[in-house]
Amino acid sequence: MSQCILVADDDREIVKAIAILLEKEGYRVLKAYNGLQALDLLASQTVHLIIIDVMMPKMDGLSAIMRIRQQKNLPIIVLSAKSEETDKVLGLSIGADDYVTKPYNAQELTARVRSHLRRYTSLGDIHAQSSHEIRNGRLCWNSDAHTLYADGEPVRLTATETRIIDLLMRNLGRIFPAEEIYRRVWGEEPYAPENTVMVHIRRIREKIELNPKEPEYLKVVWGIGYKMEKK
Amino acid sequence: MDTKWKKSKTAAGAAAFCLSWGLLLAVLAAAPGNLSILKEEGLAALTAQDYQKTRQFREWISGRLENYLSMATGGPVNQTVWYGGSQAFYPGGYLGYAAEVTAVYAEEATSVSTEIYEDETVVVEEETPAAYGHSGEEGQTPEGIYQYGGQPSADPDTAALYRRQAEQFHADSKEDKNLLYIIEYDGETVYTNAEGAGLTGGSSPSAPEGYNFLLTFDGEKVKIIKDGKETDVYGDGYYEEGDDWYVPGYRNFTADERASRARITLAAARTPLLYIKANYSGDGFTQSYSPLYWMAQNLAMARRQLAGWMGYGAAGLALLLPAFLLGRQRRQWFDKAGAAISRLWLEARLILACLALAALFSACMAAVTIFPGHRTALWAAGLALAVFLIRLTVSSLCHGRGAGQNSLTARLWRLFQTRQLKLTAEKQTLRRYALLLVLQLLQAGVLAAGLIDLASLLYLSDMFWLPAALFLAAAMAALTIRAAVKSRKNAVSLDRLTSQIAAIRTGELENLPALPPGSPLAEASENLNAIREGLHTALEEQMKSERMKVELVSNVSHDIKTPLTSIISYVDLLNQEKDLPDYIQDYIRILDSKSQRLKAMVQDVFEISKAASGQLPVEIKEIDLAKLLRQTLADMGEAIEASSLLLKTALPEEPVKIQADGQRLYRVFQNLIQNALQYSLEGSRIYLSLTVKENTAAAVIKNISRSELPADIDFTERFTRGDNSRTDGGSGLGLSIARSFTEACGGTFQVHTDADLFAVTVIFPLSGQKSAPKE
Repeated sequence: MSQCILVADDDREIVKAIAILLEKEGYRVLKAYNGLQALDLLASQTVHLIIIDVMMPKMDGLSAIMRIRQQKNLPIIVLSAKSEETDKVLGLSIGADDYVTKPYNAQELTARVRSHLRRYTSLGDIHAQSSHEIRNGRLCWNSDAHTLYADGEPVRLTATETRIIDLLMRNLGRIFPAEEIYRRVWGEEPYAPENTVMVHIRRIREKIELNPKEPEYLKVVWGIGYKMEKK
Repeated sequence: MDTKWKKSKTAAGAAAFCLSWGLLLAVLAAAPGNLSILKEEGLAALTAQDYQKTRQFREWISGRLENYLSMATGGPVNQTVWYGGSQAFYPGGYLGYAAEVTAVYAEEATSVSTEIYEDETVVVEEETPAAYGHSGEEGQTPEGIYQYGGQPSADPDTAALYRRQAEQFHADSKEDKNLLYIIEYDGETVYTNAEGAGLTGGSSPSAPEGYNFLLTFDGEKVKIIKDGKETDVYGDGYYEEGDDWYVPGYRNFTADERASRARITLAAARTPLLYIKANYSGDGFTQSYSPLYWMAQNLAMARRQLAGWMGYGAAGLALLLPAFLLGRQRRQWFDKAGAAISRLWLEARLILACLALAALFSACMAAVTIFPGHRTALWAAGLALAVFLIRLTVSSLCHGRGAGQNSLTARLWRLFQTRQLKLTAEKQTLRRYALLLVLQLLQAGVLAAGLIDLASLLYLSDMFWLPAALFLAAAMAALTIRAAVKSRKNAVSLDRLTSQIAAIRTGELENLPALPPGSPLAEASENLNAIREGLHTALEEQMKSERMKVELVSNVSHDIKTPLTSIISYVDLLNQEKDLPDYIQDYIRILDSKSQRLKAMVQDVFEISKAASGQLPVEIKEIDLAKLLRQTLADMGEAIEASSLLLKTALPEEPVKIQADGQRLYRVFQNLIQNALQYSLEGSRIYLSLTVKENTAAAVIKNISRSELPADIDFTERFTRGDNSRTDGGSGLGLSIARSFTEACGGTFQVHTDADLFAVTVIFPLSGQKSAPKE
């Protein structure tokens, strides 16, 4: 049975466009045009994920999220034209799992939907983690198997990439200068490390980030170094 | 050797300068005396080396003739034996010192009153007759014709007195053989000192050997034979004031009838010998000298003195040349010496100079009294030293002008000033007034003292003046204190006002109490408050409008984004349709790129408006700018490689620590590099350099523009591009965003164009250094 996604936005065309996008991916889509409608649909149907706009008539997205969170634990992605940091923080703090700004990138949106659904449905597996596993948001690093899982799926990494990931996942949130990464991963005195490290970071991003242009995990700390964001 | 010569040259320059001026000044000082001698005797007489050609001699001989005529006719004796008239003959000088010198020799001559000494009229003879007078003047006829000759008195007592005088005069002068005389009356020889000397009187007079001056009076006219030649005595025959010979025989200066019966013959020695007559008897102790001897001596001395004077003058003038030629060296020498002594305090230098000058002056005075003959030379030496001292002092004063002057007072003043700078305006003013008050009180005291002094000078009673002066001083002091108190009030007001200004400056816009209405700066304070209120309103308005602007932009961007979302979504869906005709796919591609650009622009506009209104959140941390640039280059590596351009970098190996928001700064350099990639001439090079200078780091990106750069355009203005057609892909906001973000992080953003060269400089203060001082 295909998973059901509720899309709520007051702009019918946007809802339609997202529906087409997701249906192509094989999901079932429920359409709501305000907060109340969304709540009604949620009450009557089985929904696995919600994509919801903030500014809607009758009941806005944030109020709806608060209502939903009182009963359900399903993933909620906020889709809003408000792109400011404060809006994102607000949305995430009241219970949303993700925040995507309009105009959205189709690939990114579908990737996020996929990611959240996988984590939501494979919740049991994730709980059964071993002591050798380091979990960080969508990512999970098994240091024994030297395997990185993104949304439960193993990521194919080269040997160098694996060593970089090993270093960064073991030190979540710590900032590493390129020189240190070079020294520890390559085991050599660094020569022009910035380019080399950056190339690898970029390749890893392609593999683990939902939108490699706006990375969430593998981040550059400009003027200092690189880090794995702790989620 | 060379340096030694140079050194001695500079010293010689200084010496020549001082010496020449010393000589010239001394010559100038001695000029009146010497010129008066010159005027008195004339250059001819002085150069002739013949005392008989001097005016002094002529006057003295005339006087003697007058006396002898008087003695012959039984009149009063006019001329003193040794000293007489306005000219004094004394050992040691020509002019001036008569009274002093004579005083030495006639110290105990009680009969001679000191007042006579003071008048420089020296009378040695004790028995000065009551009728002592100038017969020449007395004999003046009412018609104004000169008459000559003594007036014999009809009174037998007076006649006896005259006779005694004549006897005395004869007795005193006859031993002095420098002048031989024969006085005859009615053919009888009355007085003579020429017995056996070879002088013959009468109608055919002749002088003995050694006497080259012979004067005969034949009762009517005077005849002078000098060196065997007869001298023209009368000239045009009329006597005028200033004529050489004051003797009878002129048409308007005749001898009286009695005088015409007298015959006088005088002979003066060519070389007078020293003759002293001491008088040990009587009341006084006097020694008399032969006037002719001293006349000759004085002449010689005067000549020497004059020659010396002229010589010194010539030497001074001659030295002017080397002094002038060595002017540069002299200045060097004095500059150096001045610099050396300018280490002393200015006051010390001045006091020392004054003391030295005073000492020099008194030393000169003493030396001149001891060696009167070398007066000019001594003064020249003294003045040369004085010139040296003054020049040295002046050059030391010039060495450090104004604040550079090493002066105790200035030091104290500066100390006072620097202390003052730390005080508030009020305290400064108060201090200054306190100082002023003290000074004024002192001034009042000095003035009072001066007034009292003046009063005593004017013989005014102290009983009146003392209280008056004290009252005046007290009144002035009271006024001063009153003024000071008022000034203090002003200072307090000023302080209040400055604190008010300071409060407004720091943004304290609450209502500050204005100064009370009575105070002198109340109006200024009120105006200031009005300005503050205006500022407050304006600021509020501005903040409100900024808020509204951001809100508006926020709303507008939201409202644009919603339809844009649909556009992008459907374009995306269209993109996924595979079996569309090619031309439709072309359209879709265009739609896709333009809608993406629109999306970027909306985001940019939003950010820039926030940055412009100062509401851009920044997270300032210490970052390494060199590393940030390397990271940015690495991040954009693909884009750079894809372009036809070459990027040349010059980044320092060591960290360049600055305080900034790395994320924002990344956007800055990303924009700048993108800009360079986008607008550079094909195949040209882009230069990126980072340099650290003093306490700033400057990153410079230079590229050659593909199109011609307009000269007068601000590239950081929003929507500005090199070409105005806007057909390329840029939003026109790249540089504007870069500038806004740079400034939001506390950096400076400069754009510089030179022909096709486009250069952007981003400057940040180094971390740990204070940002550039505000003033």
